[in-house]
Amino acid sequence: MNEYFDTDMLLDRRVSWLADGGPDDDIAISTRIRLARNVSGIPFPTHIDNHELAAVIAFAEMAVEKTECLNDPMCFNIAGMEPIDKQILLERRLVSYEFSASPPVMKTLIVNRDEDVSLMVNEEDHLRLQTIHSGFCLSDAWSVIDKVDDALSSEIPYAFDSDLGYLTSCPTNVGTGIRASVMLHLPGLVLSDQVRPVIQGVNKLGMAVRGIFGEGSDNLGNLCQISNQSTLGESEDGIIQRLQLVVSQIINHEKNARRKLLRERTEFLRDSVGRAYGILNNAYVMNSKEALNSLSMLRLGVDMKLIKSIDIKTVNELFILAQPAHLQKYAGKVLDQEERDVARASLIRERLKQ
Amino acid sequence: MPIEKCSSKTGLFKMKCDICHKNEATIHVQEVLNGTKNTLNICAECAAEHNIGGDDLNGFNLAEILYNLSSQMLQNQSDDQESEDSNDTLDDAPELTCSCGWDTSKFREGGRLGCPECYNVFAPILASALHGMHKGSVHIGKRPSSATKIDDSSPRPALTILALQKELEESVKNENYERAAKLRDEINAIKKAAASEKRDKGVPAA
Repeated sequence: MNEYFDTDMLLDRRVSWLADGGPDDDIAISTRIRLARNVSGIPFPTHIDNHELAAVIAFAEMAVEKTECLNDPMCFNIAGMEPIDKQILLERRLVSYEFSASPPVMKTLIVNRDEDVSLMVNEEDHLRLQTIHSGFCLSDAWSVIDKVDDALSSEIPYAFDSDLGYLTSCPTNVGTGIRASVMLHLPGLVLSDQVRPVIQGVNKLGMAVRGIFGEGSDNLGNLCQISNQSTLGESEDGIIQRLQLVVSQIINHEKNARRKLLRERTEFLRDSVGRAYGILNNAYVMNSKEALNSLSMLRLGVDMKLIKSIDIKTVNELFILAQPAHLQKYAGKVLDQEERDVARASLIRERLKQ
Repeated sequence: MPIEKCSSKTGLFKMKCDICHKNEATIHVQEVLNGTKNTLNICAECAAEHNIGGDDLNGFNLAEILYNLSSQMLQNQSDDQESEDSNDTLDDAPELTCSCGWDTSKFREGGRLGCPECYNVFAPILASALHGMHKGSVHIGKRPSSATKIDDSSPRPALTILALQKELEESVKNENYERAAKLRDEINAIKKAAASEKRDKGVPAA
């Protein structure tokens, strides 16, 4: 696997975790599980030189090749990449922000053809295995990543302690090294002013919340991500079941909120959706935030069958394509912010007409 | 002590605000600065006061918070006379250094450890911090399969590569280019062997 790929080849491919559809995907956008693993006997990536980083990469590539645990793998050399290409990987959620943003040390990303299983090498830990799926499917995601982990562990001696489990660079990940998360779209709870207590409740149950008021006060697209915080003292199954319960409850709250809005505040709901649709269809300049928030309302309208002429896949695709790096790749040139806002509005108008 | 166990049977955590240490923390902020992720747990009042996401909270240090938290826990434990050996706070704790070169101040700076062995070396500091972060203190999840019990007499290809690469670096430093070229060839040969082993397993040619 000495040959490295270019991000341009990703652009014409569908993003399976968005396009495929899955259980409860009107509310749960995607499910992701990642495992943190390190190679035994080698210091963590932050504390080693380029030769050791290169050895870890060689190690990982060899293990992937030998075990064939990733179907038809593509390998990306992150250190030699332009910022826009790293941004593409980030926008497709193939890498973490830290992986794309931290200084250029030797790092690679190995991804399978469907882009639903990826392996970040030399992030904060030597290996970060991740799988991402459409909808709400924690146990399916777990069984996928569990198998990849088993395969890799037959080739790679992991840093493991019988009391502390998998040893990780940051003690917040030690033990199972698992971070399971579900991205939820909660416009119903936001429109009916119920989101704050729900999110606070989730926090009380020991889950982390990012997005909708959970992180900062800004709301982007009514999206939030719920994930486990504790990784030690609980089995992977236990962690996943607890998250499963919490997320199921939030999904029920959102369903009830949507039903109630439709029943008791129909005009308000139709107005919120209709205005967003109107803006998306007619605007000539649109920033990211406005696009995300309007697309969120449009998605709600399509999910609730208030708008029947638009396919949900078109809306989902726009969530990805309207992001800065994707816009510029499609334009084939670097765009400044004002140009991006024009390109974004034009792309959205065109796609919604089709 | 910002974290306490709930009295309920579920054993869930109730967290206190990292700023006022009085109210229950209901907001959890994660911030990424220069590629480093920090987390802060705060109550709604302090969030409003500090205008979360604004300048006031930029640059807070997760490690410092964890470290302080850990020292406060030790203090509280000794106050409660629950612990026999923790009269010292972390300020008095001896400076620890791992064989990899990582020391207490580096741990304090970034909240990260240097190598797997650091978990043993820093155990006195880590124990209480881990207790605050996680539901339990002992791993009860999956275990890695055979590779981890490594047989030293037959080192795995990647470990060999690592050793060779270190030697290669030395050779270049010492301007022993002949040796360096040999090492490079050896490394490539191991890589090739690993790749052909896979091919030999036999995917039929199209």
